[in-house]
Amino acid sequence: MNEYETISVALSADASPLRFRWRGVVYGVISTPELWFSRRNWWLANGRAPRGSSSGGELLEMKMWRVIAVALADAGPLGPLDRSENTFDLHQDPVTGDWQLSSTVASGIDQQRLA
Amino acid sequence: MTRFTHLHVASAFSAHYGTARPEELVAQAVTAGAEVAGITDRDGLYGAIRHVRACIAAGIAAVVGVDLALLPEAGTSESSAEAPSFHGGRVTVLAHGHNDGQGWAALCRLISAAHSPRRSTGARGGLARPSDEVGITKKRPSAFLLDETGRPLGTVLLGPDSDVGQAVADGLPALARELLTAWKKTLPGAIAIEVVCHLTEPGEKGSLRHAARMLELAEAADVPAVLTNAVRYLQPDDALTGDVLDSADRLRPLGAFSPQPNGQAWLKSPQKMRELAQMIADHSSLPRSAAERMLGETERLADACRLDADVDLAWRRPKVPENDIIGIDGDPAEVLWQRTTQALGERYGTAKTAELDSLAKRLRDELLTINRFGFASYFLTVADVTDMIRDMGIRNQARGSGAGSLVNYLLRISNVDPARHDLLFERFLGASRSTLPDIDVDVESSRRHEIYRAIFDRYGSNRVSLLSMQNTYRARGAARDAGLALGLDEAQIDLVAKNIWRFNARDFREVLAEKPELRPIAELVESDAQIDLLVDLTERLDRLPRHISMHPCGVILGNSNLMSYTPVQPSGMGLPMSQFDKDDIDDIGFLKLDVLGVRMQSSLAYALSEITRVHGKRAALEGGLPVDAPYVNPAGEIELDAIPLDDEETFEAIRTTHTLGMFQIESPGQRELIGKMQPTEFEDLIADISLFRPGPMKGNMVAPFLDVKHGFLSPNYLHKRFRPFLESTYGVIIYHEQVIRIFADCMNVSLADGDELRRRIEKQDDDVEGQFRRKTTANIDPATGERRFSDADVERIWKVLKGFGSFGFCKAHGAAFALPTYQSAWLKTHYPVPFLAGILTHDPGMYPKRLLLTEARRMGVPILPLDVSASTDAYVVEETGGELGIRLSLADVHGMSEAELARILTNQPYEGIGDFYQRAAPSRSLLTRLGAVGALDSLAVKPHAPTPTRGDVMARVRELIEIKKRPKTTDANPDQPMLFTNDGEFIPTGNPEQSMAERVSAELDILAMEVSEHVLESYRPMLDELGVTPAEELLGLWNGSTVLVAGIRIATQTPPMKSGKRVVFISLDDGTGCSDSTFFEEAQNRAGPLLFGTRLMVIQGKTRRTGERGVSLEAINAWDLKALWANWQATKVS
Repeated sequence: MNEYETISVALSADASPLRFRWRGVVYGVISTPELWFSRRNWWLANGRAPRGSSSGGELLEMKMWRVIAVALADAGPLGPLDRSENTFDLHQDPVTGDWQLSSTVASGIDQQRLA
Repeated sequence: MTRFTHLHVASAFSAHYGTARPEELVAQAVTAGAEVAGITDRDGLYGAIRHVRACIAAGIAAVVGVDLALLPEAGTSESSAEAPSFHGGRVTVLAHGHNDGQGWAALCRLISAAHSPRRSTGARGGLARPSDEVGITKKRPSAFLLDETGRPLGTVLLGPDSDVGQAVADGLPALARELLTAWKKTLPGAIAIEVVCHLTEPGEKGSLRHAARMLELAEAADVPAVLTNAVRYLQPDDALTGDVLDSADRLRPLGAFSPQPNGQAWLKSPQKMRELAQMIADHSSLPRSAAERMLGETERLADACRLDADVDLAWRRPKVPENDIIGIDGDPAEVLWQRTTQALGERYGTAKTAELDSLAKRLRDELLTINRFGFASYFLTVADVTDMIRDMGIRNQARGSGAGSLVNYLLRISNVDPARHDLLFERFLGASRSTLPDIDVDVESSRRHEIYRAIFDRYGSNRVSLLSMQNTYRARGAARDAGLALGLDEAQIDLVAKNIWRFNARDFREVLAEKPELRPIAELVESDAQIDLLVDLTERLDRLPRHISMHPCGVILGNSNLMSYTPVQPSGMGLPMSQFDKDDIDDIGFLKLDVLGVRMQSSLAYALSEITRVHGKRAALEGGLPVDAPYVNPAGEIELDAIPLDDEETFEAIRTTHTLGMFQIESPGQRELIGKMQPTEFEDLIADISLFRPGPMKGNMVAPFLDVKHGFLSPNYLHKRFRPFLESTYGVIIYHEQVIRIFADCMNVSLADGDELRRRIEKQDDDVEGQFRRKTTANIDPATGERRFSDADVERIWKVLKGFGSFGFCKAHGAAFALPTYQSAWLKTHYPVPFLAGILTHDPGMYPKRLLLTEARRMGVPILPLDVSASTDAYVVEETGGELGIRLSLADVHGMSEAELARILTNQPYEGIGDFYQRAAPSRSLLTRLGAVGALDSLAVKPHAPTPTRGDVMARVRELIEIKKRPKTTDANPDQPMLFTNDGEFIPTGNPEQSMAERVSAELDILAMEVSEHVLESYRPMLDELGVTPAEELLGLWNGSTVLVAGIRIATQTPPMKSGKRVVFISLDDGTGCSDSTFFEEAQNRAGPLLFGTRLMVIQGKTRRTGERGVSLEAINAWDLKALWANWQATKVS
């Protein structure tokens, strides 16, 4: 998936994601959340970019949390749940404060790459 | 504060990569409590000297390294390293310090090797290597970074972009270990793993995981791991600029290439770096202590790389050629003393004893200072070079403050007599200078490269290098690259870029609101968000270095160890060029000689050779000189540096303000000043050149000078003691030398101290006032026991000195400039035709050649048409009908290749057009162009036949080019039938003659100058009807008359004004002379877009007399002549 979907997130003491609700299902984070910064195509944003306008990196960067999570409830509205581990990127919009799920990554791919 | 040293930092001198200047990076590091700061620019040490200087100033230690590409091993297959995704990569090399410069030398030599053409790729020696070819193979560093005992002189950092880091990112741990082992083996003790965490997407290079795996690898292989941030900008905000630079580097718009992964590569604080270290360790399988160990290794390496500027770089200590290289035996000081003492008799043979005594004393003083600094061999080296240039028969002339030195005059480095013009040595080499002074030599521009090669031959390429310069983004280039980044179309970029070259890019937005001619762009910015963004990005790029190129005149001369102090790379002309620029030279202690190519010197040399060729032994007579003039030899050779400087005819010619072609005094502003000043002697020319600068013009120092010179006021010498040195400028203080003398006289101090005080007062040092008052008040005449300066005197003198501020000019500089000014004026006066041929050939001035031709026409000099049989690659003086004329040159024919020109010249003369086409083999279009400007006319003339029209000639040209096969460039096989017979070539007849307008238009298109008549003549009927005033008649009009002038634009200037408001000066030429119009704000608004673009103009204005021979117009309005003409013709038709 590539579309961002707004989700609700519960945070742990260090402000990293602990649980989140996506499409009616609550997921629990089972990995140490890994902080990373993605980027955006600021020149398409139809705004200006004078010197100093991105002093916190906000025009170019998006702060992401990479987590591995599993569905916590037994059943969802669509039937029995997939209880396998999946990788998610969560992102909090710095302006609205809304949390978004920006992508899911096929499980296990990172372990294969970086053994 | 926690210590963390950034060891991998690219400054803005990593062109198209870094965004921050070394000084800014050091300042931020110091604020964060750094004890050491590193710089590692890409491919070279371009920012290194600035970095070291900034570190010294901040009292911290400098680390210097380089970021180099890894090139694949040529010809050998390294199976294990050839992993599929391995594209070479990059490594960082740091020099170790405190080892007598061995680390620095190793770094310099490694970088030079990275830039030298690779033998295996078949690149030819000397030619610049394409930038993607710059780099080293993995085997290369060991030859440089280990001394003979195997002790490391530097450390290679293997970071995320290295082959090792790439293998880790690819998930190939075994390969990574193997590669690391190979590095360890070739460079024992000289490698470290560079851990970088930019918090990129997990798994990618620079991610937390990747960093953790790198750290684990280092621990496992027992190789030190250091943490860096692979810095390329100062602040997070600069990441955007980084994106734009990446786009410029790849020549692709943003979005069309894979961009930097995020914006984390800024100079992070020690606190942030420590947090990163901890995060990395936490993500690894290692204990938490691994973070501390990595930070410890980082500082240990930083300490090993601390450079001692004194010991490692011989900071600011002169490195000059060895004595035997400059041909001296024994003590240089003694040799210098002998040579100059001997020359005293030669240069001043006719001087009286008293004068000689004072000269000898001056010489002794100069030599004392020179020897105190140990600069004797420097002067002998410069003299050695200028001797060599003279022996090559090339004109040369010292410029700048060096002309103030008697030693330079005696060594014939300079030809301006410092005693005669009261020039001061102290201005050139003061008491406090410890670095080598600058001596600049102007030479004939056309032979400059010849001199460079001779210098390399004479001193050896291990001692010589060219100087480089950093080209930085100016408004136009910045707008172009910003436009490219945004993917704007060519036409849009052009529209913006073509109109914005008159200001700093960083003021773009501000300027948009102010300037009337930018109105169309300002409107575009409001309506188009992309253009709006373009303005921001253009401002971001301003002044960032773009690329390095050969400095136009600097040559570095060093000792045989030069290549251990500077990396070199091939320059455009093939000779090696240092990576340091002129601002670095003093600190690294190189002797820099500015050998500046000056077109005027070539013009003068050409005019002199034409005089000798055409006049021979009649030269003096033909020039109206005394037949026994000592500076003209029997063969007609003129020694221009020996002509008398008081020739009244020359000054008379200057005073007419027909100064076109005269060095330095031909600009519209100078013409106006000359018109007011009416110079009568050489000293006036020095003053003129010194006054014609923003400071004095703004400060109105000109008015009192002129009032006294013309007798309206009596001179005010400030104090009667100053008269001797203020008399030549009518009491006005113009020169540094005069300020120095005032200080020295008032305060009873040496001239060297006087110069020191002058420098301080220019820097607005408040200390000077107290000292001046104290010492001047205490200055007692021992004979009378009374004060030399009363309180009122002190008050008055101080006020003037203080106001003098930045207005002064070095008189030695002015005098050195005034010499070619006078020489060119003298030649124009006595030998106008050879002189004009000289400036037409070498194009020394600010005006287009078409204006020079207009001047020739104005002076009544016959212009001989272009002729493929008679013209050469220069403007040649030819006798025609008993007088001298100028034959046009083939060199200015548009679109002619060098090969075509060479063929035309070697096969001259020609018998017919067909013969010319056959033997010179021009392209079809060149043949047509030559025909259109009459260069084939003479070939069409046959005995006993009427002269063909230009239409006939062109008909013959069309016949020839319709023949399918173009002639071969080599001589045709004699056995084959001639396609183009010479004998009895038939020229078609009955074709109409070209009209005058057609001729002028063809000449302007093809030669960029009109030959047949002035371009304005085509519009004559309309101009007459409008009642346009010819430029030559303006002087005769009443002040304040409203007139119309027309012409072709020859100059546009926007000099700085006292009021700060912009004023635009436009000069038009109409064939009778130049009219100069001044546009103030209101007129600028009316003229709008016409101000800078339009070539042919009509201007309405009010005459304003500015002096005896000076007149200008205050513009009211302006029109585009071509648009007026179209309207006028339309009304005629209807």
